[in-house]
Amino acid sequence: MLVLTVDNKDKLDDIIITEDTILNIRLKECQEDINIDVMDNMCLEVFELDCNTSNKIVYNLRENAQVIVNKLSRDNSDVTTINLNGANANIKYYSKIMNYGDNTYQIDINHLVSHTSSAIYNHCVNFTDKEFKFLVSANITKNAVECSCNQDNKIIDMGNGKNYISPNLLVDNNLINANHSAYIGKFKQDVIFYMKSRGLSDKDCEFLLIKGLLLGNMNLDEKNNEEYVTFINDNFQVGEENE
Amino acid sequence: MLKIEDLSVKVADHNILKEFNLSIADGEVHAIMGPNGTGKSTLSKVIMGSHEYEILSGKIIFNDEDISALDVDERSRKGIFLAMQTPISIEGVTNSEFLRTALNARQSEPIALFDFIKTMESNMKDLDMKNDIVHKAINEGSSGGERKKNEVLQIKVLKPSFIILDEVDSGLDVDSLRIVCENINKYRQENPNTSILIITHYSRILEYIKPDYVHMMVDGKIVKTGDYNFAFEIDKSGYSELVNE
Repeated sequence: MLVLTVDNKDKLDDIIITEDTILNIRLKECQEDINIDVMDNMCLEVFELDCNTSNKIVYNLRENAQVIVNKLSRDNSDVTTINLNGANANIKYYSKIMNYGDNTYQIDINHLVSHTSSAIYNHCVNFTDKEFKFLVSANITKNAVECSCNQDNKIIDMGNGKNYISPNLLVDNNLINANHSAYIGKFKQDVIFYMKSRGLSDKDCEFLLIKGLLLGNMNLDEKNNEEYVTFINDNFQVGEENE
Repeated sequence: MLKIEDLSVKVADHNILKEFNLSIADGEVHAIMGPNGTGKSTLSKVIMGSHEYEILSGKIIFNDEDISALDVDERSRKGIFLAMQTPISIEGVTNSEFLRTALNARQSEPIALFDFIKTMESNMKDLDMKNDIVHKAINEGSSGGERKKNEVLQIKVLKPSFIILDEVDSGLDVDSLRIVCENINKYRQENPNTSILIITHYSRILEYIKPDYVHMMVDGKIVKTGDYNFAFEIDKSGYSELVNE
């Protein structure tokens, strides 16, 4: 499997996936236009760690393309568009965000042909009183029969922030399977009670729950997991300094 | 070990515990039985320090210290453990990191990874649990029986001195109940000063973990106390008949 790593130093405009690929993306403080085309029958796994980005990212998936995105970021205002252009194209997209500033994260999923599938997990921890928005729209066209389209959106509020989720399913077809959920709030009190009843302090509970929310469901091997945990540790500490 | 003195507790506008008294000495096993809605689970949560309830009066003394004002985690680190009736699942938090954090919270030096793995493996084997559970999120996708075994695993790893078993027998099949109770008895043999408070509707669990005292609780207070045989008297006669005696 081909392994590609791109960061701020690379020319990012077009990435064309013509063989099964692992793509590592590491971006900081940038506003880039990035197109990622996944050709017929190709598998792409993305491991993305970003800080302070406002990128425009477009994924185009051809027939039978399979994509998994494991994206963890801090202060993210990216606009991501996913075009499922080919039959049986499939994407699992995990976007986990640590938020400290005013940010809007937008993602649009377009099911343009039949038998396409998307599962989108957008989870954010908003640490401050700043504003965070998830704008999530899935568009299923009339031609796209027997599609599966799922969204799970969650914002955990740690600092009385202004939080919004706009989850949209725009469906022009009866023969599809679609679900969406949205939650804004604190960690649940019964969960905190259970953890504290085993001796964990409030701070320990918060840290484990935040880490669990941010890394949960993602497809990380041991090496990636270590890098993602380091990212959370580094940015969690930044949050404490800001308090 | 534990002394509850004239404890009155309310939630919303309902008085649930009413001048409740109970004294449990080191190494004793007590059982509380009672009809639904009488305050048994409230009692367990109040001992653990839940903020859901308002203490109107009374004290909870643990090892000669008034713990009424202590937070939940402080009570736990002093040695109190509540095995819950319905253990919840926690997304993304693995059993391994949860228990290791809990263990480290109660000792001055963090436990070495190798020692922790050895402790977990040995205890999971005793409980007939699969090894991969350590890497799974707490209770996610687990059956009722697996959740109860996980509670006992936590007891064996964290080594509390006072254990509350809140309807630990509910949702357990015969084999799982036997394994759970055998492990609790083994823990008692290894830690003879450990005291246990069993909250249950049925005498079945008491055949495995034999109590020194059985209390009948009705309407927020203990109305009658007996020895082990009292549990079977309750089973035979029912609560209402015994209350009216």
